[in-house]
Amino acid sequence: MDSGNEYRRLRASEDAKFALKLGVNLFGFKFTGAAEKDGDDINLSAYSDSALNIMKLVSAAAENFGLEPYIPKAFDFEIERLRVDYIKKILSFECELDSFLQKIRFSREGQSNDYLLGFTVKNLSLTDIPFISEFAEKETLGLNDLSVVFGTKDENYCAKSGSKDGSFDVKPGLSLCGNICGFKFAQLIKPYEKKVKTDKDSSALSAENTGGSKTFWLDINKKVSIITLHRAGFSYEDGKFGAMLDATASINPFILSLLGAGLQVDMDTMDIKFLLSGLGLEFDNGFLTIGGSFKKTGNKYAGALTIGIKAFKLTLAGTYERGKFLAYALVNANIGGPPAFFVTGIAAAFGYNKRIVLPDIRDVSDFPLVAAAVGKKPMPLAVMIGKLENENYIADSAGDKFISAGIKFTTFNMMESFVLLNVGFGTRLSISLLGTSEISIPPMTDKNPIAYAQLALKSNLDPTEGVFSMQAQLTSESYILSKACKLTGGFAFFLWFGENSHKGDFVLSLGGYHPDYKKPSHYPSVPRLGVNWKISSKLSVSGEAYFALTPSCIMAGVRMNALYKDGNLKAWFIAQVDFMIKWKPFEYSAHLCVSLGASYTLKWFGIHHTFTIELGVDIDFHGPEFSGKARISWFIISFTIKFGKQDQSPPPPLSYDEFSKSFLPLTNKASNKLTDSGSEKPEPLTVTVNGKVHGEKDGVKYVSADGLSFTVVSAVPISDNDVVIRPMGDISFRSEISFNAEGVEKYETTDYFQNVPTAMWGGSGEIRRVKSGYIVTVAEPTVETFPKTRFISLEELRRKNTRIYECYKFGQPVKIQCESHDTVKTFSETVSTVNEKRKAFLEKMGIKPEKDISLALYAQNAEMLFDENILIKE
Amino acid sequence: MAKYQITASASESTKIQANKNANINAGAAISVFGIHLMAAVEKQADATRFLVCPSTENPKQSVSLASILKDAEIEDKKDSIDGVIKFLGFPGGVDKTFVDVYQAFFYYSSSENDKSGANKDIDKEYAFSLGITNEFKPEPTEPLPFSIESISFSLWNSTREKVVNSLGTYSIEDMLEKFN
Repeated sequence: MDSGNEYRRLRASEDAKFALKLGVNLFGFKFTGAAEKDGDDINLSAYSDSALNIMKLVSAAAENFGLEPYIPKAFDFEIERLRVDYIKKILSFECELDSFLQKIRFSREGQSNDYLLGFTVKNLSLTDIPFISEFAEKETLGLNDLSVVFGTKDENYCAKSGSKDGSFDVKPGLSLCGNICGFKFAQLIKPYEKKVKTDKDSSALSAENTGGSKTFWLDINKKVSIITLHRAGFSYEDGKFGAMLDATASINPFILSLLGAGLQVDMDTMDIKFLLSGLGLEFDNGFLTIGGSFKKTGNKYAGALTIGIKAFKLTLAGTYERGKFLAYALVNANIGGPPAFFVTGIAAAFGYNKRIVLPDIRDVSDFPLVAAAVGKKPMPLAVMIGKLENENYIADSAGDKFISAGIKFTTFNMMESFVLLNVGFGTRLSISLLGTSEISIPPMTDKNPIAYAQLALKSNLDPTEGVFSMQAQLTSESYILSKACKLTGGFAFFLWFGENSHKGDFVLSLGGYHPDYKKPSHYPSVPRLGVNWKISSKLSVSGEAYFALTPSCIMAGVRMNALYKDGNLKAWFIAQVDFMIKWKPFEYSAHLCVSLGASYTLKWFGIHHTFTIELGVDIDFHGPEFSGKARISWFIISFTIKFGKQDQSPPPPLSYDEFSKSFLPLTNKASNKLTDSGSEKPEPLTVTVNGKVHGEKDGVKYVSADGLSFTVVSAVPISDNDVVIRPMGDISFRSEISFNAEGVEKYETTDYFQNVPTAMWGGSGEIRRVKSGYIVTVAEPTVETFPKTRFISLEELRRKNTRIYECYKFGQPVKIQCESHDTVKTFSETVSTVNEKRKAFLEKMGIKPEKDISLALYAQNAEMLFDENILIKE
Repeated sequence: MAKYQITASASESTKIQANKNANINAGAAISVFGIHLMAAVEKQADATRFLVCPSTENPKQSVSLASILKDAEIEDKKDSIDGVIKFLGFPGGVDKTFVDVYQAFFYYSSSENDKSGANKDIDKEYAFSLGITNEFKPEPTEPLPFSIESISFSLWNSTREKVVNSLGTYSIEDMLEKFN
């Protein structure tokens, strides 16, 4: 430390340390908390000093506040140890219980996503069985420290404190470990796969409603000898903990399936109950196939049936639960067709009170209705049922229905494809297409083809959301020449319309985007088209390409990369080209790069030095106006050549003329007419008329004022506040629409709002939904009562049939049932009674007869006046 | 209002040699609220050293809050302070709540490297560890809703083993040993 001209040195450590320890007593239970500063780390720890009984603790607390709570018996257990700490940026929680579930441990490292979660159950001793206890010691014969552990990296899980036998080294993923009769095991059931988080990432854990209780399922798909474990499920309800498995056993030619087989433990009484939700049995000897599977969980029923001879196979499956059902049918048969489209199967599905949840493009092959139809081997029925029940894909949805139709075909016997068209309706309409295509060379072989590619397809039209999308992507199984030579790539086309906030936007991408392009959040992520080949441990080659088109720019690029590394020697070749062109305003840029070089790192008695030889060319250019720089790198010299104007100012803003012609609707688009000059002219206003056409004269259509409305929409936002035009350099303006009506007495106007692109319009902040016009509705005309002063033509009556008094209304013909007996007599006897009704009716119509009208004489002579019966309504 | 009571003082060896700087050594045993401490200052040639440490072999010393109030001559406020102490989670009040001094250690040393005095080596160490303990024992049948059993706080910047080991707090690693 230098202070003025005085030099001082502090010999003791400058890191002061502190420690705080606090012991508290809470309702008779002791807890300790501690904090300390150790270097840059602050460590915290809290634990219980004595065994905790949750029921007693909650009861004492409630009693203190004068409450009498109901505490389920499931909570009447002791927590022998409870500890939460944060030490060296690792958060951990550990709880040891005196119950069937003996230990829970969770730890997470700092800000990383690495964590570990483990459960250990109580030791199970076989010596509790009377006969066996005679021959074996309790400690040696049993299943001890049985633990389920999930972690994201290599870790040590300690099932029992202070015991080496209860300590297990676990790999990333889901592991089952324990100690059987003295033999320790730690079996990795499902490796952990790190992937980008998406909405579908919860698919590994699926929740299934089983009659009121939720069972959480974990996909396993692990084959052990003849047994395949498909998924494991866990449930907890009313103090009962359940663990179950879906598994199949293949004993050729039989496949036996157990669904939801497991144990349920009553945590209150420790009673153990065996569970079995369903059973399946299939027989397939290559000639005859027959099988069935049935499952019942709560009020939910699911079943599947299959029957087939040789290549023909029919499979039916379905689920039902209180007004919700799903039916699925699949026919595998060589139906026929041209070699390019040879149909090998068809599928159909119908869901009632169900809707399809579209999967991410990477998970299309897992979608139940697709997975059931594709694959080299038929899916066991039990697995099919399990997939159909997966609500992550086919969800319960009141009022929704869907219908699906699929077709499976081969192309020149080299490519096998399946496409499924889904139409959802009910509360909303959606049309989607899902499918996969597989190609292998040599075709249809299981034994290491030299090339294999699997393409997932997904397309969706959702008018409610205003999105149309098409996506295709190679799966991670794709390769060429060698399995180490991976193929990647994807395609996407998205179009937004209707009420979507991105209306008018679109994107087409093949392999992604330019590295410098800031992808809007609503654009899809598309993997690079490429090949990545690790030829040997020393040599790897990769290449990738992309192309994308958006409303504002176009971009493309390609990159090749070869790397050789052998110990301290490294050699490389890199070639890369990227370009991007933007318009409105026009701008372009490109980057070319070639590098060829080698390096050697010399290590001699602790001295490291790297010798590098490299020839590289790096060219950047952009415009307008055309300019750029090129950098030449040689191992002894490197220099930069600049060309064009280096100090580039941003492109000039557009003039109104350029802007309006580029971004506003043109005259011919709006009215199908050209201006006098024959050229297109910007026309910001669009008028849409809704009304009844009642005539046409000289090519002009006349519309009735009755029920007339029209919408005036401006492509320019209407606002009393300043609105800026982005392409014109944020020039601000205010706009208004004035509307005059002639010959119309009454009309109503309603503001019309629409979404506008934020890249084009702005305000004090970002604007998106703005006022853009009016909806003008002509008011209903005043009801004209019985006209006395003028003549109403039949034409007018027809035209205004709904507006003149109801008595003139032309209605639909009504079939009247009339009396069939002597109606003349009835008329004579009853006509006098209608006088009062007629008088009241006329008064209501505003008519006052000068004198009363009597039909008495008419009734007296009715027999003579009428030759036949008259029509009287019954 | 600390009360200082000098119980002994010593200046045992003060020797002046010709043509040399005077050497000074002074010591004192003091008691602060019943906590017995020892202080010493020493100057030899260009070096100066100062030390404060407990005067007892076992550095831990306890004194009740009531005793501190008495020494501080504020017993008239005992009732109000007793209420505050109970409210804070010490149900025994000032009579059953003890302040523990586990360690009070301060050492300062400076030495000049040249005659100008421009360069100095300074060595500074300290360790303070205090605790508050609740000696009140409730009836087992009537547990208290909440009470503080003990609090301890340590602040130190020393690597002397005896000093560090005497602190009233333990490192979290030490405390976790009971779980392994």
